[in-house]
Amino acid sequence: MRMLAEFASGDALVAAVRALRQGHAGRLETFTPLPLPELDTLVDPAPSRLRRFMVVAALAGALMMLGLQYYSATIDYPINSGGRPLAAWPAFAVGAFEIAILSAAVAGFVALIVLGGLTRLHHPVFDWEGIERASRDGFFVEIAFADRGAADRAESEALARLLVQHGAVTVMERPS
Amino acid sequence: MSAVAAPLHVEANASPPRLLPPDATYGEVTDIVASGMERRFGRVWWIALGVSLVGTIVMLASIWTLLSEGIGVWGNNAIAVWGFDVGNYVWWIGIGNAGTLISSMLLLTRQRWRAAINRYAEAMTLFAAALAGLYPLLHLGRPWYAYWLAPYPNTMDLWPQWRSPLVWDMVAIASYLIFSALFWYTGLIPDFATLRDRSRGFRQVVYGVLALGWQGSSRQWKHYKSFYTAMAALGVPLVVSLHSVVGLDYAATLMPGWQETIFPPYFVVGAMFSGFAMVVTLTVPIRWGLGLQRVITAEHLDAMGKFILFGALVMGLSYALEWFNAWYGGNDVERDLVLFQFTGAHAWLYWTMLACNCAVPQLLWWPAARRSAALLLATSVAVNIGMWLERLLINIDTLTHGHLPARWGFYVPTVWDWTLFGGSLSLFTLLFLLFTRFVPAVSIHELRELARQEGAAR
Repeated sequence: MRMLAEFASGDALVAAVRALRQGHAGRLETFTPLPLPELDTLVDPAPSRLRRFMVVAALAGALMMLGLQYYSATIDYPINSGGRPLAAWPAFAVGAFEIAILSAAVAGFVALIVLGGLTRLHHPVFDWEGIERASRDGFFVEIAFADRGAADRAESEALARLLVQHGAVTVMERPS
Repeated sequence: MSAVAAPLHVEANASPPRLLPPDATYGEVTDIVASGMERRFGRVWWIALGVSLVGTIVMLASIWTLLSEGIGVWGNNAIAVWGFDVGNYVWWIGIGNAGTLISSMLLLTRQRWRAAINRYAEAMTLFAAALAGLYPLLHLGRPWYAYWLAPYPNTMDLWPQWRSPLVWDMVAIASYLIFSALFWYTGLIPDFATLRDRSRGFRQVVYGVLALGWQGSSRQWKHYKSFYTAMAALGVPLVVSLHSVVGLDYAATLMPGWQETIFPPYFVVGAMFSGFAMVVTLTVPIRWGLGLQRVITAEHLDAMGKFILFGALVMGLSYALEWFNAWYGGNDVERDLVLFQFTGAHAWLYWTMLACNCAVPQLLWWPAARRSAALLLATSVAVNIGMWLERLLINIDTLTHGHLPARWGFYVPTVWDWTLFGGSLSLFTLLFLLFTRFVPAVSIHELRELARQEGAAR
């Protein structure tokens, strides 16, 4: 079963999610028109892993660029210009720096797509009626829970009451 | 009998000025921006589009002539090997640096007024940097061999010369263009979702694809914030490095007026200065044309005016340092060049530049001037002209007045120089007009965040 509740303000949504978390409701996800920092830890306490990918990509990019410059300037195409050292590290650092930042940016963008579950144009969440307000002024929370009969029925009704208590404008339910 | 003393108000903790109407809701700020681009565009927009389209065609004709006749159609000669081409390149890349620099700096320093200006400042960056890249490509003479600059295994067994600032420049610009495009597009994803959800039919499909299936879930927002802030933190050093490299294109030579350690930071400040001036030049028509007076307020103009004033002071100091170093260094060639700048063939341009870059912005000490759209626009246009003259004079003054008096010469731009420059301005305008039509010129989701921070909406 899935339940979707809409709130008129971010504060009401945050309060409702806090109450849901205390009652240990199942998996939940919020949909909001702006980032609410309070939800970051409430919905999923784990911090974003995205920047790890950026750091690794930056280091890898810098090393590859340094390696490329070193190989081409000293091994494959050495030019002796007035006896200056072939491995000109200060000069190589510029290109390595630029490529490091470029690699971090590209890796971060790919990580945003993968970790954020982007490019799914037909995600089931878009089937909810009124979910388009999540990009305007609607604050939504979706709760997923198992449906195993009468006991869960009672639970879902309790859940709906809790959401309304916290100011939910609408509460909808659908089988998964 | 004694006069009642008025209570003395000490506003020690005066709250910062509001940037949004006090009762703005999330829906309203969304509508202010989205309806600006959804309504029918008036006659002015269409006329501007037509004029810039004609200018763009003129630019294509100029490029066609250049490619079929060769670099000789330009005013460049054996002495002034760099003229309009490199000057315009540096001018455009300076403007092209500013958007990302402004956007990143203001994000990292949590300046709330950023929300209203960062989007079109970044668009300006992207278009200007792309146009800047066009100039060195055309200056190659045979641009179809531009890929020779890239390091790739080839049958000629050649590699780029990594010790050359010109090769650093190529790497830096290419990285910067891709970086800026990613930064800009990432910020746009949630706004494309907003447009997707408020349009129907073909528009909905296009914006839907561009929004990449954005849901606004807490997971997506968390990764988005993490990435966007990291990009801002990387953007500042990237921009500084890019324009420092442009400065090194000059400083790594042995020419008088170029071989100066001040060049990299002086170029970075110049980029920020001319970029802010261009942002203001674009702000005034965008604000008027899209009806955004409620989100781009006098507070924004005021803040940008202060930046321009600060830039003018730093530029003035940089010029003074150049003159001082020329005198104090005791090198006759350097001293002679400064004298030539003030009294030589291009002296009237140099004096105009000093007036535009240093004198005119002093107007902005007066708060009323900073808050007046007309005066601020006039100052910004003056700064744009002044910075353009500076970029041009850096090239031609030094080259036509170098070490060897026998190689002193003159530089006169030809009609093909002017058409290429005017055409690039037209293409910039054309891209910008289309941008305001199809992309939200102000970041909608950041305005919503601003509304929450200011307490207008909860």
